[in-house]
Amino acid sequence: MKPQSMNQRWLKFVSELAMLAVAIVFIVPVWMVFVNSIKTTAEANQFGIWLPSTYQLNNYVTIFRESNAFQAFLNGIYIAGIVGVMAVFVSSMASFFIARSNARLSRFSYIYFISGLIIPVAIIPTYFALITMHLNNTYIGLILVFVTYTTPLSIFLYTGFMKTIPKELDEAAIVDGCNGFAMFFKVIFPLLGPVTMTVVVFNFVGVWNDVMTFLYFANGDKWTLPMTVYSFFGKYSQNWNLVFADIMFTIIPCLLLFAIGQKYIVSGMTAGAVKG
Amino acid sequence: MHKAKIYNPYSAYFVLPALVLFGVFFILPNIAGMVLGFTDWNSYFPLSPRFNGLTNFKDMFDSSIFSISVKNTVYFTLVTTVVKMVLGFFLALLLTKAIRYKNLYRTIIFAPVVINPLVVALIFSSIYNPTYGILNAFLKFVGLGFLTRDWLVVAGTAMNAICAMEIWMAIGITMVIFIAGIHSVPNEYYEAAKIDGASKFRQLVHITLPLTMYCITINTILCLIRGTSVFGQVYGLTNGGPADATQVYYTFIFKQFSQNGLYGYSAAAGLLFTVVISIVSFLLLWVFRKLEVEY
Repeated sequence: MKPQSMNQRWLKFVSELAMLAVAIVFIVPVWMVFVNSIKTTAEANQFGIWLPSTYQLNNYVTIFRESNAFQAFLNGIYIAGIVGVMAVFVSSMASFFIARSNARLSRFSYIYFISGLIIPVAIIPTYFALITMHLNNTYIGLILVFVTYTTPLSIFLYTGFMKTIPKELDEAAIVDGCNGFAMFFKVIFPLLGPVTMTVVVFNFVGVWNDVMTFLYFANGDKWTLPMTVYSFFGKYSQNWNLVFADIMFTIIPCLLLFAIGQKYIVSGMTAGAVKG
Repeated sequence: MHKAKIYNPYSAYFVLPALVLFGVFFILPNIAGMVLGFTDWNSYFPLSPRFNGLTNFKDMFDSSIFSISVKNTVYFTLVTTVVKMVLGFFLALLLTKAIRYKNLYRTIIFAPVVINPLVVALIFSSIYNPTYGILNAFLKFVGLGFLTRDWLVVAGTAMNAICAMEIWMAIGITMVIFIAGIHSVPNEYYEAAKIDGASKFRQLVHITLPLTMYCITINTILCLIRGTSVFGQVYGLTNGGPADATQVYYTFIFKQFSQNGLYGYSAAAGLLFTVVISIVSFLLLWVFRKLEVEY
């Protein structure tokens, strides 16, 4: 260790104190939700951050009895899961063509998809498209729209990564008698693991936390859990203990997924931020 | 034997599903928007829009809610972008230094990113509660009781309350991007600067800032897009109230769409948004490209 001057040690102390204060600002709201979710209604409605006088764990049972939380939970798993998997196949295949082919269509496709990173989604005309195709308020309609919205970023990630995979691998596969599709699925796709994880986790979280697509294109029975928390609040706005229990039930799966897949979410968010 | 054509393994079938999906649900709607914005399409006759010229745009510019929502969107975008960029950069600087538990701090600050904006809005509506909310309780506790107020109702503070919430939930994105940028600056530059006797501050201005310029580009554009298209946060916290005072662009569109059933009108508003945001984003990208340095 280098000897530190008084000044440097003082600066370090102040920085650590500042970070501690910042961390408290981020933790207290979630703690407040948790601790009030196990209180009585009268106590929870005062939003105290201290431990409850009596523990009311059956708040969590009540929310399942009183709301369609479980159905909404399954909706989310179903829609976000299918979107995550479909996004992987649609985007990785498209990226393979874009990264490898020299055809004019390849260059056109890249610009075509990447434009979606900047140009906003035209949500109202999409509604028109959905009603003319009789896909409004259907799972399949929601899934197709979501997969579409995942393509620009997913293709951006996949194409960047695929350019680092040597083309000699393709040639070896062809010499061994693979056709294009066998080559892709047997040789190239297994090498895309890290990006595939990013695409799955990132898009799963994206669908789980989407608001607009559900509000515009589907009725309440197809909403995900976070969406129903809001309508639950409409009914139980005087029972904050139940509302908070519902919120805990909504954010715990997200935070768990986050704890496991933080690395992948970060690499999705910082795509393009790392020079290369 | 001689084959006329060399086998091409990169068949266009690979890109076809994506091309079709993206065409049907992104490109076509964007093109259709250029037509639907000039029609009287509404919830009574959802399948038979008729042209009505520039009526939608005239109505829009005459509407006071429209001008409020544009003003609020610009305000929200500017405030959140500036605060997120400045604070996010300082957090990133601190968390790339020798601070204990820095990985834990990064995780804590980044975590709200995975929470739905509607849920965050609900949590914050309890924090902003005038009687018992922890914000007013904290202010009273530290002796700033005179600052307490009904944050979401008093004019002038509701919009700031929404901005504060957005900063809480999204500063993690800005910070993480800056951290990635700071990590990618080669250490030799700092060592060389140290040998030349450059102070920490000069290292920051002459090395860190120019070499993380592309992070500033990306962060600015991400903050601008996120800010201008804000929806869930406002919808959940105030739903545009009190009396349309916190209406933003996307809640304005949603209100016209869902409450008033004016589909053509909201398509016109959406079209205007798409045109303005695309032009501004591409211009900014172009300007920032000129500012970036090669190394």
